[in-house]
Amino acid sequence: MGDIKKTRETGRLAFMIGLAIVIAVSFIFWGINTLHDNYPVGISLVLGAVAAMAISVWVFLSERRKIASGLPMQDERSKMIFQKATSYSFYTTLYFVLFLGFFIDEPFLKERLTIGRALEAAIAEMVLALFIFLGYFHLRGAPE
Amino acid sequence: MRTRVKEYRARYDLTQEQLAQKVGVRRETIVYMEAGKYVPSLRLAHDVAVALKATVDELFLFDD
Repeated sequence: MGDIKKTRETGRLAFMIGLAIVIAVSFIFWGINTLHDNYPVGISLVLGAVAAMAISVWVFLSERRKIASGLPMQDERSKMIFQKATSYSFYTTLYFVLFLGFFIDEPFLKERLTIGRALEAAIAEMVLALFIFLGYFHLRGAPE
Repeated sequence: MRTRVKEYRARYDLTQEQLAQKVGVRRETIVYMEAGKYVPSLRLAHDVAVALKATVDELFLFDD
């Protein structure tokens, strides 16, 4: 029974890490495409994505060891932290999109902000905010 | 909130990891709970109390 649970948890962990790597690879391609237009942003995206992939592999290895020793991948505290972090990142993104809305197609900007670019920025902000809130609540101990 | 989980855990010579395994949570949850930074659910508080052969109000002290 315990082995089935461990196998299921390891499978879930592998799926989550795989998903993180897919997202990181997408960011790498996005960064490479951006390199021609805006080198600093492009290189930051590529480096950030490579760092995220390295962290994902490290998390996978350390979590696999914990699961093997009988500890769960998720518990009430980590679930609570994830729920709170996702809702906070969603709300900050709403305000961020509202803020960006004021600048879409404004002629006074040096570089025109299109809806497509605003959407890209909002998605990036949502991912970034999620990681910041996750880290913050983990360090603080509890999302209260 | 103050807890006496660490004191009771030492009494039974349990590590944080062993207690975490007994009650089915991550070790970090025990770390933050002992530090008084995480207020556990009633279910977890009960499970910890059972694992440490104590009662919930012996382990978790709330300042009114």
